[in-house]
Amino acid sequence: MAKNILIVEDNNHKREKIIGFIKDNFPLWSVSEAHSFTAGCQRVLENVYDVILLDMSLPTYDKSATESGGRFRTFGGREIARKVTRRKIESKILFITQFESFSERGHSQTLESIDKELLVECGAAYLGLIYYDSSKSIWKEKISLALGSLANESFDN
Amino acid sequence: MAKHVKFRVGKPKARLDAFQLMANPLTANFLSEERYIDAAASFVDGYYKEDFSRRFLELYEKKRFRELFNCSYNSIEDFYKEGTFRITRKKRILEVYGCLLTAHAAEINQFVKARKFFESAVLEGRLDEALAILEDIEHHVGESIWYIRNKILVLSLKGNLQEMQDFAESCTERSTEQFFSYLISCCLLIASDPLLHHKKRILNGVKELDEAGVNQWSDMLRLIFVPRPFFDSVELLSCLAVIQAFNAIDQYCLLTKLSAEVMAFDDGSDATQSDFKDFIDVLQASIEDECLPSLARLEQAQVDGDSLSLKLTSLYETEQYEDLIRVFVSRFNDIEEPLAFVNLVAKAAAIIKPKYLSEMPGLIYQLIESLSSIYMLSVPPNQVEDKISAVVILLYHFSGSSQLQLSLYKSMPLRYNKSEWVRLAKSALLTTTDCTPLSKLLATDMDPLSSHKYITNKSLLPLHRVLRASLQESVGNGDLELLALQAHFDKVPLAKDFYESVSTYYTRAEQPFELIELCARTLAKNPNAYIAFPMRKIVDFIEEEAVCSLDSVIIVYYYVKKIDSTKDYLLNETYEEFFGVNGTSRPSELLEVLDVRDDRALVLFRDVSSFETMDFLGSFSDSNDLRAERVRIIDYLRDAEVIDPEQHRAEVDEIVVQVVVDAGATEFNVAKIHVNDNALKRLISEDLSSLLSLFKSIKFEKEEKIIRLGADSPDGQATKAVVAGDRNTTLLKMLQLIQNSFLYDEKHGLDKNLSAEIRHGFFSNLMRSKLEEANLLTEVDELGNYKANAYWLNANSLVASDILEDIDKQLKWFSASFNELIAEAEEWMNVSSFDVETNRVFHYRTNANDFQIFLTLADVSTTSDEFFDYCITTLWDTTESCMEEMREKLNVDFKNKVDRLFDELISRITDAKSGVALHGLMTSITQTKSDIREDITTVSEWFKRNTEYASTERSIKDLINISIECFERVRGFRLVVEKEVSCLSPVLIDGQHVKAFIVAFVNILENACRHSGFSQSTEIKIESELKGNSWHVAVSNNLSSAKCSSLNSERISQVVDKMKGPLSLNMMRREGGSGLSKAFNQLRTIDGKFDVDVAKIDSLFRTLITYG
Repeated sequence: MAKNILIVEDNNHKREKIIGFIKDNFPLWSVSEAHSFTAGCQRVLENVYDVILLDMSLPTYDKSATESGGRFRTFGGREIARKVTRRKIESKILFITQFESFSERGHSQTLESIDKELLVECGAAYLGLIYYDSSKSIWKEKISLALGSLANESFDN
Repeated sequence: MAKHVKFRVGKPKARLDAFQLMANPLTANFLSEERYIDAAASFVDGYYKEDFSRRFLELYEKKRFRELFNCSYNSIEDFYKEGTFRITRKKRILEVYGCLLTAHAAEINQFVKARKFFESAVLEGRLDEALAILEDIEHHVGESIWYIRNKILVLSLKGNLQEMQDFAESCTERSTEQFFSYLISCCLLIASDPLLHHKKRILNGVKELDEAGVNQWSDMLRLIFVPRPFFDSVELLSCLAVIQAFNAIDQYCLLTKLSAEVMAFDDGSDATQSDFKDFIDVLQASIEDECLPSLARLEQAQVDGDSLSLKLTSLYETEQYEDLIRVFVSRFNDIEEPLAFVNLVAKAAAIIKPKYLSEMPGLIYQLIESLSSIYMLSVPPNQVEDKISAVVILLYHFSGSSQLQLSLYKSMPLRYNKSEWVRLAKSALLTTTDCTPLSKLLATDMDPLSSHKYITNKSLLPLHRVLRASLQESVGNGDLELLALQAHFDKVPLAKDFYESVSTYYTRAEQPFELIELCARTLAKNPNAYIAFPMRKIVDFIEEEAVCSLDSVIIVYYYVKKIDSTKDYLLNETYEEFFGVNGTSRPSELLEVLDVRDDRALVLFRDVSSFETMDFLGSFSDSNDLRAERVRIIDYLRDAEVIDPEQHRAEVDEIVVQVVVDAGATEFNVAKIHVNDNALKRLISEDLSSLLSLFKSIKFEKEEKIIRLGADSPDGQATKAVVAGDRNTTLLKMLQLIQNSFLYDEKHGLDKNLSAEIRHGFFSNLMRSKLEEANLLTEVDELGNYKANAYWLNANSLVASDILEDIDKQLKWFSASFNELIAEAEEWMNVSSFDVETNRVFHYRTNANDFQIFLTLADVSTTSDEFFDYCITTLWDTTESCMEEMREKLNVDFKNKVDRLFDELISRITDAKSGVALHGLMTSITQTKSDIREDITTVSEWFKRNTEYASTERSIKDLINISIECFERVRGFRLVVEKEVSCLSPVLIDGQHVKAFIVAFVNILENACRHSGFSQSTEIKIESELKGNSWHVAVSNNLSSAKCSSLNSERISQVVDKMKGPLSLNMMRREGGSGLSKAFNQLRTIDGKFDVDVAKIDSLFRTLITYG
């Protein structure tokens, strides 16, 4: 069944790879994109998405020739997810990151510890946290697994 | 850590009685050294009879036996000369220590007596006397870590830093033990900068040792240097056995401190407490020390001390503050533990503010002054906390250190958790008889604020104490008591007391919204007052109940700012919700709704509505929209006269600079690939035109061909080919002319662009920056060898030298490998137009098919420009593919290679460190591995075509345009401006001065709009003139009639005087000044040839910038 997915990712290369993969494997899905925290916030408040795929770290604004992107938000994706949860928007949330650990204010966190926190914060909407490594294909399998289960579930329904 | 293996273990099955072997001179004389030690070890650990202590002391009288223990070694060279005995039972270890210290009781008694005088002298700042006492102690009982630490401390306090360093170095040189050398260097560092080195050196050392599994030694470091609970969790220490490494004086100091902690620890097993109590009983039999911990003091906690402590407390309670301070100062040496009374004196000083007290030397008076500022709420508590923490670290080895640490908890009971202070208060109470009622209360489960009782009769207490006590004691609804206290607010000498009483009452009465309102109103007036409120409880309530009022925003803002920055998500969300419930999406929409004269509203706009909080709202289109919002807010606050105009001006200036810097950053972050086609066209057009004419004039008279060389490739094209014939060779010349200029032109070509903008500097600098920040790269020396990594060697100096050497070797290998990777990637970023195998990504080859196409294009082109454009389009097509390849190589190949290099480094370091944790280094490597990925992504984005090429050098014309744009971005409105500045296109300003020029020009525009009387509608005209090396720019603006009439010649002279007056820029910032002053100063920083003048011409105000 056709679903619509929003991909919030600032890295062009990574975004193109992810979108390419989703289009190849879920051809019926409608894919929208946002390149920053603010653009992501605006999209999720204005439209309804079945899935929101979030990069963990994002610039505040879309980068352009005249905009450097504003403050870099280490947990920008997580901030969007909290907004989604607080507003009781019923989108599923999937995170994808190419960092193995995150550091903010001198404290570093591993993917495992963040995964646990995200599960608590997003509850049933949480689809997982995927580690993206361009040299490996495991991220594709994990996206397939996360989105595939959703697609199948809808088929059954 | 060489010594942790130095345990002595007895032979498991000694056939003879170990004591008899050693006690009997006949048998003892026949024992080899090794067998004697075996016998001693067997006796110490395995002698089970009740007369162990007596037998031990008997043996200890024998020189041979005594010399097996470190107690007698009182010179640095001999520290930890002997190994330690492995003793399996804790009770036995304490028995051994009891025997050892009893045997050395005479020198310990001498030491204890002198220590009291020494510590008093240090606290009161009598440093020469302190030094003399110290030398006397050393003369009588020898050297110890205690002696070394204190000598370093006193020399530091005296300011004799060279002497301090020389002394520490001589001690380190004399020390033969790595661990003791380390301790001495820690003493030196702590005396130099207690907080910094405590964190960097001590706590890191503790962590490393913990992670390496050598807990005995990490706990030893804790016991010596780490005040608990302030800097570490309070747990039973496992270093008991290794205290044997120290001599008698140090053993005594360490064991009494440890005993107090264990005896104060409720969760410790009864057996352990009992063993320590027995140990202290043994000491008390032969050592006279009033600081020895005693459970009796704890059990009699409600019994007040001697008359002097009662007197001090009573003087405080009855507000006889002058007398209290006088008695404290005059009878300082009679007070059992002066540190127990510093809070009373500090509070008295906060109320009567006696000048003489702050002028008194000595750490105790500095401490009192710091505590006073807490009670007065006059200084940010975090700063005072740091100041007092430094003293706590510095004097941690003093006998009153528990009371010293407790003074901070007493001054801010709502700031800390009860669990933190209870054990400390107990430990303090165990070692001091005399203390205040609050000290005793803190050692119990009772709430110190609501359970406080005065020792003075109620009829003698001042009214505010009676009212506060009534509020605390009120049963059920205490509103009447609260009203009574509120009515007498001005009678409470310290506002902090009032807030603490009322906030404690509101908490007890479960009135959270009243508490929130009082807290927000108070914080908005004085942010330092947060220590008088149960902030954590309030914020938890706000989070759980999603309270999104103005008050809750204010409270969470200060909580995040002062207490816990990790709660910033709550601030963002409360802030967003607050505007949401008010039906707005931007703060400026509430400027007219809220009264900015209310402190809370002022804090909301001035402080909370910063870029960092506002950008969470998601309602701004970009950074400049956000900046314009901020300027709108502060403009409003300035106009409402609730912020200082200079504060406003400084912030606007800063925003202007941000816009300029951001523009630079944008250039840095995005597409960098540029070839100036038009410039190239102009440069080669003459040659190309003549070649094209030649090409077209050649008739098909001779044979034209492409000679194929080598084997054909699978796609049917020759791998190499050469052209022959006049038309072909002419076309080739044309193609080469265009391609060479595109690729290699020294000013505008691609290779120059790759070289100057990327290869030589930007790429390697950016790649190296995170590594350099983490100190993971080392430099190459003159001989081409990689230097040692001094940073990580120093940071891990506690680690064995062979391990460090190996780690350094791996870091050097990493530096070399990383530099090779950079070189490899830089090679990709080169241009190649030759028909050779290359790793270069920007390769340009014309194959036979292309050549045929160019032939056709040359035939159909009517002008050389037309042919040039065709060719350039083809070259850009090729370049686009090259850039795509480059991005792919960076994002995949390079990123993976960097990843693998880091993985290899982690693996090599893991092998090299042989189980030592090296937490700091490993974290740095892992973190940098993540960070560098983002930088590689940034670099890959550089490989896109930049159509708006910007050099660092800018023309005045450009800068005027940029300034106008900056002004408009910052202000959020369009200027009504007419300009004619084309003549200044050739006048260039160096990149380093660009920012200054823009700031100057923005200030001139700002001045024009502010003082014209028309504000945003001001009409501005910018004109310019260039004459040789001189030029000028005139900025004229219209004036309202009122402004025009006020600008007489006298006023103009004043403006000029102020602008060019001798006041420095800083002076102007402090005293106010027009934007013109700033503009003038900024331009003068660029070049002394700049001048600025102002004049009124008809009804216009003109600012004239002249150069030359």
